Amino acid sequence: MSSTYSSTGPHIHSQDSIARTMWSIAVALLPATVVAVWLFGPYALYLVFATAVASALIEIPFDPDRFSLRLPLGDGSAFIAGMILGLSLAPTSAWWVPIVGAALMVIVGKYVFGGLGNNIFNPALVARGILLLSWPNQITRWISPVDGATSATPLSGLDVGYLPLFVGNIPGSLGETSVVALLLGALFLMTRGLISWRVPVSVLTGAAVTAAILGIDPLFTVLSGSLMFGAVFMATDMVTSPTGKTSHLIYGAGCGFLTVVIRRYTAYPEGITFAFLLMNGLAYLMDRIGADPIFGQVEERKRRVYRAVLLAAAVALMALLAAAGFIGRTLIADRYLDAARERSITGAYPQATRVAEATSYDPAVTMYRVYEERRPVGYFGHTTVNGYGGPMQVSVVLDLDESVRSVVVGQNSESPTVGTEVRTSGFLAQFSGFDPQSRDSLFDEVESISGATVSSRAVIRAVERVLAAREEAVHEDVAVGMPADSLADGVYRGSGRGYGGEIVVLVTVAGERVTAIEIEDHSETPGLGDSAMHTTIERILDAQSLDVDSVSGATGSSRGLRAAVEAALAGN
Amino acid sequence: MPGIRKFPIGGTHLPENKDLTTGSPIRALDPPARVVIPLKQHLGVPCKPIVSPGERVSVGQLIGANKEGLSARIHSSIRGTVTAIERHSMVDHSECDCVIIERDQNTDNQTPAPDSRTPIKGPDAPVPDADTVRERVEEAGIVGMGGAAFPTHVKLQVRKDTPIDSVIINGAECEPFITTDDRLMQERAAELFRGLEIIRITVGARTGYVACEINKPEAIKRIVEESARWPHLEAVRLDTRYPHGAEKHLVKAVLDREVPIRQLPMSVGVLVNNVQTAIAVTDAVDHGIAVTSRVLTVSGSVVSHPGNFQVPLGMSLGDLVAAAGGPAEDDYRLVVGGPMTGILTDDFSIPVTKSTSGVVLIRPGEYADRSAEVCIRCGRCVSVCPMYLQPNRITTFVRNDMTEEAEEFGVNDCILCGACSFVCPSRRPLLQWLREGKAKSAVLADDRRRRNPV
Repeated sequence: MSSTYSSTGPHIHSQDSIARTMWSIAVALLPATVVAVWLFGPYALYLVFATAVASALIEIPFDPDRFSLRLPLGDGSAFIAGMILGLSLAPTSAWWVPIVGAALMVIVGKYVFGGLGNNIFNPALVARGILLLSWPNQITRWISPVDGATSATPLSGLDVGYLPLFVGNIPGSLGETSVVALLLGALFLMTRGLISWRVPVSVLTGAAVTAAILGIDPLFTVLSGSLMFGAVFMATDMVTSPTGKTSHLIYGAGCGFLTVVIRRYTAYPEGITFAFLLMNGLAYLMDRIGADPIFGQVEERKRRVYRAVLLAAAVALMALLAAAGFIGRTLIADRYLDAARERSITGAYPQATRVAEATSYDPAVTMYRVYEERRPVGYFGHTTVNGYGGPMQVSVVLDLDESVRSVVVGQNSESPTVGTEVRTSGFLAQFSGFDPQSRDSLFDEVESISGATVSSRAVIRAVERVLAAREEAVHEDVAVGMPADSLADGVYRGSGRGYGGEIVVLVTVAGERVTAIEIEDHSETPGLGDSAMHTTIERILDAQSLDVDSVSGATGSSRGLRAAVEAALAGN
Repeated sequence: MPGIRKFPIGGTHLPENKDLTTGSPIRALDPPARVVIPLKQHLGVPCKPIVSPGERVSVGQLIGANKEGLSARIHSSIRGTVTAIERHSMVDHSECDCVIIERDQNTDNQTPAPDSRTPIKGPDAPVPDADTVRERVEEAGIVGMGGAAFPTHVKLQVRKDTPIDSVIINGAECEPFITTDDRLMQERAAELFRGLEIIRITVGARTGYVACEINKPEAIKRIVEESARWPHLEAVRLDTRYPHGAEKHLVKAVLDREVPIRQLPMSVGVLVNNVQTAIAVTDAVDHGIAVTSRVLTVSGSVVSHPGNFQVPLGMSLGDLVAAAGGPAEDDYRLVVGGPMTGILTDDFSIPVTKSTSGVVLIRPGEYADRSAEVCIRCGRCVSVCPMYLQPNRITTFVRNDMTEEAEEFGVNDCILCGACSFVCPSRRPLLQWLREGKAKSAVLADDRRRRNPV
């Protein structure tokens, strides 16, 4: 651009420039880069710097004026965007990913919009978004920095403590894993006045609060995935974030909120790419609605406070109403459910003393096991189906051999004159004796009530669903009974074959009862298998029987544990 | 003693460069061979000359006045002969009628030395009634000597609907290099407090304050000492931050009162005066001395002997720089006023006026060369703006002729402090564009008036 000479001042200038700003950000990215190389090896260095250098080189033909002998890699804007993109790649990315990514970033992310300062969306995130959609396995194939094995990340279920999340020796993108390194970079940027604390702090706060509301661990949310990396280096991108103080806070909170919502409710384990891109698009709007009152707009300031109070009051009122509605609805439903359950259980098992949740292979079916004293006597399945006039709750009572003992239709909105006919014993009695094996013939053998076909078929569907949910459980090869009553007090060792290998347990018998089961050795999947084994132990101790359901998703581990306990008790 | 005060948001730290001159005592300059005294050194209408070529004049003799409209009287600054009344260029690129006076060959030391203004009256001395004070101030031709040049006798006329309860002396002096008020507070604190007391009683205020940034420890020491003698006057320490000297920000820092936009400090019961103005009030009221000279700083690392000088009005910038030993290097730029808000010029014949606060010679390394790279939206201009504006956005509107949007975002509330331009990493001439925006807005306002006459 042409040199403008101004006679109106100021005639002095801070020593700041675009190049100085950008290269300072590059320095702030160094700790994360060093940790990436330490954790993932020298290939990480290639991925980060190949992306950065390629970005700078690709920019040359578009904007040659930014490059000189003094600044061979330009003013650094492309270079740091490249570093950020590189640090957001998976450690196993192919050699060409940095180059393709850099090209996408510089061309699509930046120069399509007119180059530096004109792009609406963060170029690194644009490139990352395109890569994510085009080559998902290149971007999200994580390896563990400890053993190099392909692994899930903490976000997709890997169970790790807070300390590894903080240090960074966990699977993830190159630069995102170490919170310590990222905080170091953030500290540098803040002391140099290059970023305001408002953006990262509001991103993290927004995410933590949203997580807490949705019942997710807020600390885990903040420490895991690329949230910290994004909060420090992506949300703070100067060109694509708002410029004002209040607008920084709104923008940051929005980024954090959307990230957690995407993590929780979509197929993507990490949400920052799309969350931040969306907020980028709103940056100018934020600057408008978040514009601080001008110094001296005394009345406007008062109006803002008044409006903020009104808004807060309205939000609080809405929340109160929603909470009241939610609680009321739950109370009503629970009471009804309890009543229906009570009726069906006491009707079928007058001696029942206790119910415990049992395995269900259909999330729409809640399954309980019914006990008389310590002895399981049958099952009780509950589900909701759509009838003629809306949802209809159906409870099915099963014998221990899983055949239908009785069916109870609970709350429904069926037409009062006709729909209620499904409740007449003539119809419901037809279900007796059906079991998971014979459920396919339900539709042929159960006769619908004429004039209430839709409602009848809904009940049939419900019974079929409950039976189907038990089907797999029936096929499980389980030992029945636990002959602890014939054993002397003592500790017995036994082993069984689990999913990952041998499971060895120590079973304590006292007063003809199994009082404790301790796992001595196992090779089950961390976070999944071991928790399943502990659940199974609780169930065995609870029922004083090996006839307990497997934990869904970890049947192998559950079965292996039961086999080990059985072996321990039988071995004498 | 209250703690250090500051305005809440915005502002920036500048390289101060005050150590060049903060320790050099004010030196009265000998009258130059020739002075060019402009007949308009104030806000308002020009004075009419009341002398004619060939007439002999003495120091302090009235040479220009105007009974109609807002103006301040002009006096001769040397003893000599009027040679001409002609147009001459001013520092703001305008032209103005000036009285040219040539010095008598056989006289020397015409400037009254500071010690001739004795005795300095203390806290117990009576203050003349308000009309007398205003009359003497008007006769002395006093204007705001910080740069605004508003006639002081008008400022001391309190309107009934806006009573004044506080008077603040603005000793913030937040411009780099300039140490004029700094030295005056060190050397003439007693007269400063007397002047403040006169102003305080004249406008009927309860309290008077002398506010000074903490980067001037010697000045602070003196005003704190002095304030102990005056029951109604206080010394206030301000944090060092640009632009504390801006009137509205000074009021906010000292009294925590926010002056509503497009209104004067008067609207919140405050009157703000410059240090040198208050001293001039003492001179006028107690000693009957008119404004014929002013103290200013000549500084910059290029200047051979930077210092603070008592300069006869009408002395040319050339003579002034020569009196400071002249430039030691060839490569420099001349700024009249401070380097933040002053005006760059290469015309050394421009005369010193009542509102010239300093002259700074800037070295090449300090130049603010504006290359106007693209805005990277870093937001630093927003964070330093003491008026909480968005300079990046306003200037974009200005440059695209979207004047109404620029107005909506507050272009007319800009105080032209230049903090945004100073910090911009893309070195965009934001202040220049903001000035353009104000000019465009004024044109638009004229159009609106013409279309819809009230």
